[in-house]
Parts: sequence; structure tokens; C-alpha cells
Amino acid sequence: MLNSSSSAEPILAFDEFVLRADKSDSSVVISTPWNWCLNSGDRLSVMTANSFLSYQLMATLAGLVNPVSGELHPQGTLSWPLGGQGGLHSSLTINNGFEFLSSIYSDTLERSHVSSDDFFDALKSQGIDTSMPLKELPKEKKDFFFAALSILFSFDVCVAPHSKYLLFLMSREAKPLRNLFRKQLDGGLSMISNTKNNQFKRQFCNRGMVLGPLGKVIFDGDLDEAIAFSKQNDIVDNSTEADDMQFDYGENQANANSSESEDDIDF
Amino acid sequence: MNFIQRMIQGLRRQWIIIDAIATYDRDRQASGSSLGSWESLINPLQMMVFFIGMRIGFSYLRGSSKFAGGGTTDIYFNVVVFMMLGFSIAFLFRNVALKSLSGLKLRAPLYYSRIKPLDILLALSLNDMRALATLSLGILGIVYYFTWSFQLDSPGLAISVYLLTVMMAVGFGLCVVFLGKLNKWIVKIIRRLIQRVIIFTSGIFFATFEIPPPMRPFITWNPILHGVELLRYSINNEYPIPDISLSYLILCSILMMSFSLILYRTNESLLLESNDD
Repeated sequence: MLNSSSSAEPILAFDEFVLRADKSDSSVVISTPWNWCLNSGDRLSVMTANSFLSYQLMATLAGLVNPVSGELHPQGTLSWPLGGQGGLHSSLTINNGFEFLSSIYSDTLERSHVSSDDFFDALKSQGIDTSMPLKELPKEKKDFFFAALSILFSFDVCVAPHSKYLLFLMSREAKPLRNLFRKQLDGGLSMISNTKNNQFKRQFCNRGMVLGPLGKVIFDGDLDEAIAFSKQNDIVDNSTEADDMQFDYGENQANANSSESEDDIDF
Repeated sequence: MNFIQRMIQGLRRQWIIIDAIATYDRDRQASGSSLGSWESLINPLQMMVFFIGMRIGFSYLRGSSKFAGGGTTDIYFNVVVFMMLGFSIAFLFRNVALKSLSGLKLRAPLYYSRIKPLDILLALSLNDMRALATLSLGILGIVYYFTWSFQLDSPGLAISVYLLTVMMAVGFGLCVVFLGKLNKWIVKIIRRLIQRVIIFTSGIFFATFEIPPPMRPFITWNPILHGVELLRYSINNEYPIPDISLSYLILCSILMMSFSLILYRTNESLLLESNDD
């Protein structure tokens, strides 16, 4: 039984979905299995005081963690974490990375409301040389490139976890990217986010969901009402920024180096 | 009709992903090497030259003055062509198997949900296949140019044998990639064992007919030897291939591929790192 807040077509459905709810104890799971869905055009902000549960939700959507039980039924393509910096090897150039992803996600690029020209213009505005290897880019330019790259493709559901990369998107330097992101969202993109940044929520989300400490859905509806509800009931995530940043959304999945080369002939 | 269309579309998408990862890996390697994109060709070429030198050296040490540096196989092949044919098949298998045995070294692309571990393995195999096939064709062309004696008696058989070996190598690679998850010492031992078995029983240095008949069963169990010898036979149909069978190669390839795909289907999650803690 799947419940929804509106009658629109669901694009992502949680079916008897159970996640872990405690980092230190794997036997602690959410109290009530989730049976809710994200509709087309919904841009949902999930609010909870349980930062581990919040991470589990986003990591499951990013394909990094399996649920304890239940199923996720996406009716389209889910993005990689917004602004996330995994996937591309540091010795690849920006052009290499762009070509790689535009081959893999060619369909999402074709229907995108942000053109490749917009993307390259944005990079140019920051003085980013596209023939430069990623490892030689200064940090803020690297952040800008990865944020621009994740905005360029139009997925059916954008996964926007609370991370330093998402916070970069709200910075002054990333203003041109916010405009492009707005353009992409106005084209009908759905989104699910667990950000704690109210500015991001108010600017880009239109639905709010408040979860109890053990994952029970205690409010689902209008974003402003959800924010007010969470404040009223003191459902505020008290974890520090440092606590949040320890969660890995796949960025650390690097190419392993081995001391033994395959080319060595060993008689 | 709809099913066929969907299948073709799916295969096309799969091919695009594999090709993109193959390019990704080549770009990555090229950026870290002073030789750039040539790195993937220079490395196997170095090894091939070393092996040809060894074969010629051993032949002279053996003192078989009746024939040139290639020994008795010189009746059928130029020594360079003989070695190259063995090398292109056996080292294709070796490279794929060893890369897989080291586990998924190229992990970063898994960040994108459309990319699966199998795509990465296939892309790495594709790069090895491209490099060795290019090298083989280049050497064949150069030798034919200098000797002015073009010979390719059964091109269909040559292509079939090459593809069957690729299939067997990918199947074997898929099986051993799971071994990469084991204790690193076990992996090291298996790795050394595979290297020796492939180098000494795959017919890179010798022809099956050079081996005395009672000794042949000790090496003809190895399907790579069948691939190597059949490839040589496809170039020159007069080349003798006792105890070598195409049906054995086909059987091994199909069995290996089928078993590995079942293994992969049921254990795919083992190849994905868990980040839940």
C-alpha cells in the first residue's frame, strides 16, 4: 500500500522500506516501514533529528547502501549526489570527464534544460580551463566544476544529500549555477534532499517531510508548514557539521593502487 | 518485435557504457605515462620482443642448425609470426585473468549508478583485446611486407578462435574476480600459479607437434593451448595440430562464460563496496 500526498504520478516509491536507524547498533531499524512516494515535480526536503537515518536514506538512493528490507521503485533515472565529487579520476581532464558522462548519460543530456553551451559558459566565467586535469584545479574551481556537472544532466529524480558540496552550491561563487539549477527544476525535475540548509530548502524545495527519531513519518505536506512543525516540535538535527561530513557518499571510492603491476612477468 | 527492439536498444546502451569506460581507462593511463596513449601498445610489445628473443636464444642453444631461429616451426612460420600468434592469445587471457584477480582496481566509475562491475571488467578486457589485436595485425603486416608472402588460409577460423578466447578470458576473469576478495596471500599464490601455467603450457614457445605424444596430455588439457594452436592453423592450414580440437575450445568457452555469468548474477553485490558503516 503506497500513500502519496497528491494524485500525481509517483516517480519514486518506497514499498515496505526499512533502513537502519542507529549507527552503533545495526539491529535498530526504523519503527514503521515506509510506504510513501515522491511524485513527479515534487521537491522533497526530509527533516529528522537522526542524522544517521538521514544519511542512510540518501546513501540508499545513491545506490551505496542496501535497505534492511523492502523495495525502492524508481520510475526513472536517479542522479548521483548533487555536486558530488566521486567517479572521475583526478588525472582526467574536464573534457575527458564531460565526454565520459555525456556518453553514459546521453539520454538525460538530450532532454536537459541546461545546454552544454550553458555548462561551458559557466566554467568559462570562472576561468576554468577544460583541458586541465582535475588534480590541478584549485579547490573552489573543482567544487564549481563538479556542481555544474551534476546540474547539467536532467535526471528524473535529483538526489541532494546534505554535504559540503551542496553547501558550496549556496555560496556566492556558485550563483550562476543556482540559476541553472532553477532552470533544470522548472523543467519538471523531482528532487529529494536531507539538507539542513534552510536557504536551499526554501529556494528549491516545495514539499517537506518530518521524520521522528526512529523514522516514523510525523508530517508530510507543505514545506513551510514542515519547517514550522519541525521547529515547533524541536525536531532539529543537533549533529555538528563535522559529524555530518564524516558520511561518505561514494567520493572516497578511489581507484586502488597495487604494488604489483599486471605487466610484470613472473616466472 | 517490441522485445527485439528493446533488446537491441539495451545492447546498444550497454556497448556505449563499456566503450566509455574503456576510453576513461585509456585516458587515465595515458595521463600518468610519459608515453601517453602509446603505453598500452608499448608494454605488450616489449614483452613480445623479450619472448621472441628467448625463443630464438633457446633454439640456438639447442643447436638445431637445420632450421633457423624458430626451430622446427620455421617450416610453417616465420619465428616472429609464430610467437606473435601465441602471444596474442595467451597474453590476452593472462591480462584479463590477472586484472580480474587483483579485484576491481578501477572502482571510481561505480559512483555512477548506471555502471556495474561487469561493465568495468568488460571495458578493461576490451582495452586489452584492442591493444593486442592492433599489435598482432601491425606485426603481421610488417612481416608480410618484408617477406612478401601473405598467408591467411582460414580467416573465419582465426576470427572465431580469437572471439572464443576473448569469451573464455572474460568468463575466467569474472570467476577469479571473486577470488580477489580473499586473503591477499591466497590471491598472490593463485596469481603466480596462473602466470606459470599460462606461460609454460599455452604453447607460446612451442608447438604441440614438437612435444612427444606421451607428454601431450600434460598440456592439452589447457584450452588456451587449443586457441593458440588453432589460430596458427588458421593462418597456415599445413601446420600440424595433433590432439587439438575446436570443439574443446568452444565447450570450454561456453561453459566458462555461462558459469561466470551465473556466479556474477548471484554475487554482484560482493563487488560493490559497502559504505553503510
